[in-house]
Amino acid sequence: MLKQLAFLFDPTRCINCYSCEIACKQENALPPLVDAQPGTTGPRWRRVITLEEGVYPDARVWYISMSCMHCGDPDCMKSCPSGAISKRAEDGIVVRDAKKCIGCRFCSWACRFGAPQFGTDGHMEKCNLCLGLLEKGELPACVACCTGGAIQFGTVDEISQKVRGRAAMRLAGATDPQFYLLAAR
Amino acid sequence: MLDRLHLGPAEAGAVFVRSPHYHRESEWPLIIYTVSLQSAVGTLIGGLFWTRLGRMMLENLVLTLALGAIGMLGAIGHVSSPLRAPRAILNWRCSWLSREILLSVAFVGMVFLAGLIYLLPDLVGSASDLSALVADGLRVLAGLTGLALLGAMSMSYLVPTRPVWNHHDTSASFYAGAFQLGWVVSAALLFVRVQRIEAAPLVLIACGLIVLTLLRIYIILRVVERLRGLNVYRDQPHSWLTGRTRQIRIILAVVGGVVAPLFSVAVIFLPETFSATVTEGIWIIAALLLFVGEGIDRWVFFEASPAVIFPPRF
Amino acid sequence: MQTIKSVCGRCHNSCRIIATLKDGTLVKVKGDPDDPRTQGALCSKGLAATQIAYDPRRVIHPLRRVGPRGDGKWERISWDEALTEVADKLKGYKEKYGPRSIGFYRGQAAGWGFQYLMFQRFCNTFGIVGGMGTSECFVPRVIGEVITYGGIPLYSDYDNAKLLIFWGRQPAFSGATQMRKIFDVRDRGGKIVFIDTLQFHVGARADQFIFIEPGTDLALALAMLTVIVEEDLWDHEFVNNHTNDPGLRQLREHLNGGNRDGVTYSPEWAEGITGIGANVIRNLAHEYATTPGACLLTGHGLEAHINITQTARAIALLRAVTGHIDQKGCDVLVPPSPNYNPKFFFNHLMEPGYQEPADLRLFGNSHSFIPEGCRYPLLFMMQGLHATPDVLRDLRDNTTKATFTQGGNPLRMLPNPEGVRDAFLKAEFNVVCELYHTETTSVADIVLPAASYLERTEPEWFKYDYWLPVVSLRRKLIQIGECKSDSQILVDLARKLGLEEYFPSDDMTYYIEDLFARENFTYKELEESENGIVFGPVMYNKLAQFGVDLPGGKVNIVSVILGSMGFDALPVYYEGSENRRSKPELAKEYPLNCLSGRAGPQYVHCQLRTIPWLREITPEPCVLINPAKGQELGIKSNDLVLVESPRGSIKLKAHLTETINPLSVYVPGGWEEANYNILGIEEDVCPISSQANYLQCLCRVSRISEEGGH
Repeated sequence: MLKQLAFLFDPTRCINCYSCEIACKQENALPPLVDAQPGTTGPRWRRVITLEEGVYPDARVWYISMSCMHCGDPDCMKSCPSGAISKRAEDGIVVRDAKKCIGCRFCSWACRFGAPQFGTDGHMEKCNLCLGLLEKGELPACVACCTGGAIQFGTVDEISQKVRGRAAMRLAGATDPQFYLLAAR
Repeated sequence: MLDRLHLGPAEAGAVFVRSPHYHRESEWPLIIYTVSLQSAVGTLIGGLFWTRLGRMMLENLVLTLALGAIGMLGAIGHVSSPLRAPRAILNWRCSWLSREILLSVAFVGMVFLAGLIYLLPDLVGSASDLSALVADGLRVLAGLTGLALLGAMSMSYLVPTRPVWNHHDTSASFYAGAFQLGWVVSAALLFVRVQRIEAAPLVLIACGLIVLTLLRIYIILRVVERLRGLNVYRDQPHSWLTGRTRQIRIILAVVGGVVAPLFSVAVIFLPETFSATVTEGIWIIAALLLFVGEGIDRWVFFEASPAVIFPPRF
Repeated sequence: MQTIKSVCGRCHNSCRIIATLKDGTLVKVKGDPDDPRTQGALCSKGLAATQIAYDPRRVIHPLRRVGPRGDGKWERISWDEALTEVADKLKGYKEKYGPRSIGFYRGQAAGWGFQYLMFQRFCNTFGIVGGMGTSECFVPRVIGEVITYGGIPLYSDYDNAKLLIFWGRQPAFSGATQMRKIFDVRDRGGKIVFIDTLQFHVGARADQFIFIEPGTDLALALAMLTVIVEEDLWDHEFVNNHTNDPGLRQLREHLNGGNRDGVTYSPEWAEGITGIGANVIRNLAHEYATTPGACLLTGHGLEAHINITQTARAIALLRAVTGHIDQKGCDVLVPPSPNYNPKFFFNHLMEPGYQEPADLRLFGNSHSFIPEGCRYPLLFMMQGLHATPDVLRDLRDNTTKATFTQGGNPLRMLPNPEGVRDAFLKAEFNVVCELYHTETTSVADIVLPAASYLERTEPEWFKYDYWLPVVSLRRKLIQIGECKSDSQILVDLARKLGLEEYFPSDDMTYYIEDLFARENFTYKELEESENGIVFGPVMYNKLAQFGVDLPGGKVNIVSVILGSMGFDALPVYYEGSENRRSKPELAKEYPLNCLSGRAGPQYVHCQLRTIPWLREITPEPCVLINPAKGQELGIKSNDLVLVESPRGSIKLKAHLTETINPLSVYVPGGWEEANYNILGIEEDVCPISSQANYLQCLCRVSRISEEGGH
């Protein structure tokens, strides 16, 4: 692999504004299902989750924006029965071949990060690091729009440059997720 | 393996307020697939025990095949592109689901082949003991394949993102359910096919079902205990087999798997003309009740299976 | 594929955007990376522009009511027919009953930039005074600030600040694109403090979060002033030379019990009211006074209490005594806006003695007369619009017979919705310019289809935070149905009213050029500029350059204006209209504080509920309750609960969260299904600014049914 691309997330800058979710939906034309299937959402390639720890008035509240981790050893790839998921050699982006997917949803059981999503055709779809934008030399939609500047991205080398001076962690996991976190101060 | 079994939300420490991904799994096709195929394996293996008693090997194979075929239809119905379903066996090197499908196909295929070979002499018009032997051998092989299939099925559900499933309880449920259903189905088939059965084998068969049922109930209670109070996400179903559902499930199991066989033993002491039809009836009803019970079990299994997505810890 | 640079108009932050059109259809909108304020960030609302543009529920043709009001039956008519009827009716009423019979009302969505200037021109030339839109928001705070230092500190100098204190302000809801700059302050070693009642969104990211009892911000501000005065932390040079209380003699006496109530505003006293520890108050005051680049960023969370203007006054005093006003790294007064051409407004038609100012810089254009029927002159002087209580009074006693509402939904967003509806029904003729059918259009006789920000061209410089003196052009990207912008509607209506003398063209370009006649750029240059035109430098210390436009020519520590009008010249603490301390008997039956505010970062007031991507995130309103309180009341998340106040009740789902005090609950605002305004208070208002105590009241909560039940 020439250069593994990864997301760098700074939870001290995420304010739960949902820009990243909407930018991703716009970029990939994801269908909302709130009218067609009330009580559900359409596929969310990026999801912001809320974590609350402790109790009032000393609660700690964190927001994490997660998409596909483009793992080094992806569980989704191993679990897919029809071999529709693969990892690109040049940049490590985990992509799926829409023509091979049979829609069994097993990958959504295997992925610990909730990356596989299902739209109206029942086939798996997920974050592809905005391949189309990368080819044009632009940033992924979520990185460009993030209001707090919490979502950043780059090659693993570029990321180690950015985290200089701040404690950073690689998200630990058996699947070698390519997701870096800047530690809380 | 250990890694997959012991990760759970408790370790994460935080309370998840909003779940990032909760889609109801397509239950009915998977319920049909798992219950049918498991009972098919059980029927075949159960049948291996007493086919000598009634020469109903072929019927047993046909029933196994029928259950297996229904199961495969369920599997195909579960995917959104049924025409591409055959692709599912391609990744057997890595994927447990692939292996499961491969073993299902192998199982059903072997059963079919066994039946065909068994029939071959009749079709061709010559008598042969060899075909019976080969058919028997294939049946045993299919039985072993079925056992492996149950294992592969269990492995597909042992995923860290589903704490409700991620425990050896699941494989215990699958195996015990398979044997229990198989036992009662093949027994029912026996009593339909053989009008006069002696007391001793009947008592043994009844006892067998009672033991298997007690084992099954024990496993249900273990699962309920393990999952009591598991409240992963505030906005997802958090209880597994609660109140009324649990009562119905256990009543069905008890009635079908304990009361019915006891009753059928008691019936032995009734006049001859009664006992054959009544015995048949009891065992068919028992089979139906146990199927419904297992169906409810599996329905809850899929219904209350929150997806736990592990956020980063820091 | 065509990419066009424009300016978002979904709220007032005016972030620059790049729109992509394919064969004339808007297909994508993203932030402009060349915008120095946002660096390409854009909030969820702006990003949903493609769905906003083509929302099938929009009203796209002029409509006339068929059948009785409220039946919801309409017939489509042409613009010509609609405007002719409106013009004839308005002329008729004005001739017969005078200008007070006509009510032109504003909501948030019509905008406070160019569209508001066009509105002023229309009102002046038609001889009427507009109303609404100011009592509810922002202007009540502005009064407190303007009468202290003669200008509005609209912008905080993030680039040089070292301490940001957010006080009742939630940037995630309004202007989320400022967040990169705000967090950069922390990266440079600064500190972020949050004073609020809900510890979520940006509050969860603060270095120090201070929970405050709702509606008691005035107590905190007074206590902080006491600390600063007593510990001699105030800026002697600034106070002695530039304010009207050198040595802070009067302020010191006032804070030390020399006030109408004889109360000493010590931190210990404030602790009993606000629930904030006295030491925390001391440390905060200390930090604010001694940090060279310290900002107090106030927001709507301070508002909707009857003590709002005095609260804003006390906070303004904090800035004044520490000298943290209009300095580098502090709150900076609104810098020179584009140099408007004063002739644009035709002010002399309404004020015969009107003198054109030499330059309309520090404080834009506003009236200096008080119109008939105005009970809140200070509010009127800030923005030139009648206070909402005056508007409602005129409707209720039939003084106003015809209404014309733009960009607002008062029948949902004002407290006492039934009463407001009845008031509007009393008018004989109602016209509403809207994008959708709302409660307000249901009482209209004519509905005119308004254009969204994507469908109009106009200059934009109004950025309510982080103001750079740059004017950009918002460009029309698409045309939807027969929709026209609010400005265009006013121009066309004016021409039908016989005001062609003042509205000689129906092309908006003419008016834009007229507005900027004094500026040194032409409209053409503005149109061709990709990144806008700089119309002035960023300036600090403008008070020294432009002087203080207040009695005495100095910063008013003691407010001469308030004193002369019979209000407290120095802030005296008083309670909000309905809480445990002001109504202890009522609190026995209704023990919880019921708060309201925005429904989330993806909604604005009552808007955007029909946008699918945004609606998916929060499909229904949930009242936020503390888990300990939830346990006490037997409520779990997603249970259906009843929230009752002395005025009414609503039903909605509950959501448990540790981010709120157990004695408060938060009902998100703007939802038709569970309208907080049914619970809230209309008649208790701030005596200075007319703002109703409309976002806090007492309530009780009880469970109706479990999750999924009814």
